[in-house]
Amino acid sequence: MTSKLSKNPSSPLTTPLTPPMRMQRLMAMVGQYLKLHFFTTRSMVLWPVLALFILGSCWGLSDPEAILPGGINADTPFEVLFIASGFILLSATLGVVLVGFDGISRKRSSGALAIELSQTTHRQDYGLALLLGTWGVIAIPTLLLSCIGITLIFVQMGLWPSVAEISLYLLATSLVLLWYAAIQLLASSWAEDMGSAIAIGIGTWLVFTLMWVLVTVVVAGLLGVDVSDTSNDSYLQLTTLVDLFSPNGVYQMLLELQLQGDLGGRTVNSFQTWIAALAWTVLPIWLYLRRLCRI
Amino acid sequence: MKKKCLVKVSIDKGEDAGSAMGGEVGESQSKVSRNPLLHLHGIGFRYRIPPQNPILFWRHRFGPGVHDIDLQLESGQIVGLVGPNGAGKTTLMEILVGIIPPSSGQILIAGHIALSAGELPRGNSQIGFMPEQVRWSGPGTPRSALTWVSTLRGSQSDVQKLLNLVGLKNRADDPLDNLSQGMRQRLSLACALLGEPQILILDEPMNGLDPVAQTAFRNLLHQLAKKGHTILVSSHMLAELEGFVDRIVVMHRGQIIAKGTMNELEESLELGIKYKFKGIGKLPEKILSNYLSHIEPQDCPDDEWAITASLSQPHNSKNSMYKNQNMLISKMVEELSISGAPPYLVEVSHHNLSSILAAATGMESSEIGLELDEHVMIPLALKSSPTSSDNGGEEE
Repeated sequence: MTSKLSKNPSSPLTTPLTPPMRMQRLMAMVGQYLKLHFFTTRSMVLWPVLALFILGSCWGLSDPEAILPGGINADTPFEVLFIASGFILLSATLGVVLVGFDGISRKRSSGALAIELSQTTHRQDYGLALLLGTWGVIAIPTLLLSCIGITLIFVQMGLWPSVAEISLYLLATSLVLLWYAAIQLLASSWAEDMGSAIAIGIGTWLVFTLMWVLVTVVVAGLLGVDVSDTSNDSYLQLTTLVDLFSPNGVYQMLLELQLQGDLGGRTVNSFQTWIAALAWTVLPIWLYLRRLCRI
Repeated sequence: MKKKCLVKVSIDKGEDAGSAMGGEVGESQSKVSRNPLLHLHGIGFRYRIPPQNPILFWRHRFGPGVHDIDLQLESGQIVGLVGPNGAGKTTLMEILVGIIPPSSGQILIAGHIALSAGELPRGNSQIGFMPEQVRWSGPGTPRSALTWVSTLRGSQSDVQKLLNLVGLKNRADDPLDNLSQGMRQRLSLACALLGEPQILILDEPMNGLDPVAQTAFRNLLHQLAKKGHTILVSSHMLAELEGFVDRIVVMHRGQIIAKGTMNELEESLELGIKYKFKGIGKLPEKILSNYLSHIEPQDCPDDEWAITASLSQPHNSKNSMYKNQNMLISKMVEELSISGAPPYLVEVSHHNLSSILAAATGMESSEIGLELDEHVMIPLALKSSPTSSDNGGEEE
């Protein structure tokens, strides 16, 4: 009986979509997702925060009269953008966390995920739509505000960053938000309830954003590197390795590749950094899509 | 150009709603062909239960699931899926709709393999699914939620018509958080109807629906069945279910233990015919117990007696001479009349679904739904059982 059945052709009722058709449906799903989530209460709360952090940092840091703590001096527009990237890490990545932490867990606990998974869309396409939608909800305003910020820098300094610098800045910012979106959705797919979703979501953000210095110091201590002076060469070189394991670290290292002066204070290996960026792009997304296929 | 049926009434009104599904059910489909549309062959799946100690994450064990499910559903049938809690009804439905991958077996739709063991699960355009109690919430409205699901399905269905059909016309743009449970059920039903699927899988669809909507819902299912749609409905509202399904499938501990029409189930489970007796005077227990079994006293006035009971089996030595049931009843009535408690009513009454379920599972009616032993799946199907011959069950 089994052998007879197995000779049957695949169902014509589930004709596989061609790549252009899949792409078309994926774009339609992303568009729908953005339409649903772009003007929610969360977005309304996040937009002013993003505007304050991104526009405020670009405007303030590019002010020639501004005196920054720690002797930091931003002489060029890109150096201003580099320092402003710290504010992106504080605001936009938190925005991704807030948008994505319950992206799957809420649907799962409400039962809506069962309806969505029983539709004809391939699980990977569905996962990508959620990922790109979650990313887009924060990335679109962040990138728009960054462009306005660059204009503000020009207003203050009378100089534009080069096209390469702007491209790198926008690309790196897009990537770090994508990495966070993938991490958040992966965490959300693990979480069985809202509490776990919040704990995992905020927890990962805290580790990478606020606790990573502690992780670096602990690793340095374990390896016998002097941690009493964080400006010594061996410590700085170690940070370039440890930071490869943090999305924030890779983001800043990507920007450091374009820094001309000694603002970064360390030598960043271009090859290592781009490989890390690739790994951070591929691995979380692959894990997330794999998880979604087996959820 | 063939004229297509248009939306006529909504589920609110409860009349002829079936002809309105998506507004696009062609007239040609009204001719029902009784062919197996859906065939489950040897479907199996067991949940993996994580260890209590999360550090030993690899030490999972297998929990409940479904075992060797073999089932054929024909076009135009409404089939009820019943069983106690933890029987595997929802698991089976989730396998059917492509949420859970089967670990063994195949699902065939119209003779073609839709999903085999080992494949990644995926939905099918021919199957619409309404899960149990979806608590729609978050940003959006019923309209936007339905549009989103429609996009996921790649369906061209008219969302507004479906909203009208399920009675959400006036709530289409309300926030999802403001919907009552009944409204959420309607929205889930609309999702199931997207794209005019030939097979509808409905898990506890009546929960939260008001009585008028329930009637309308039953009408809708009948209309759809008449047009050749196959409908599998799971419900714990057994009294409601037995009124409108064509066949019943009984599940227990992950297996199908009985299936057929109500009459077929009564026969295969050897339940016998149930009788209702009413008489005057004091309950003649001694005489009744000579002829009847499973005697259940019923409410009646003080100077009367009323019971429901089955006739004792003919092979019972005491009554072996009475091969004919009518003869047995006549003899009993005669004896009762002589004793001064003559019956004035003898009525044949069929077993209800609850007692069929109790008989099939071997549980008392009061136990159904209260079984807590969900983490053990014991293969139950016995080749000797008259009901297991066609469900592929094997003793392990």
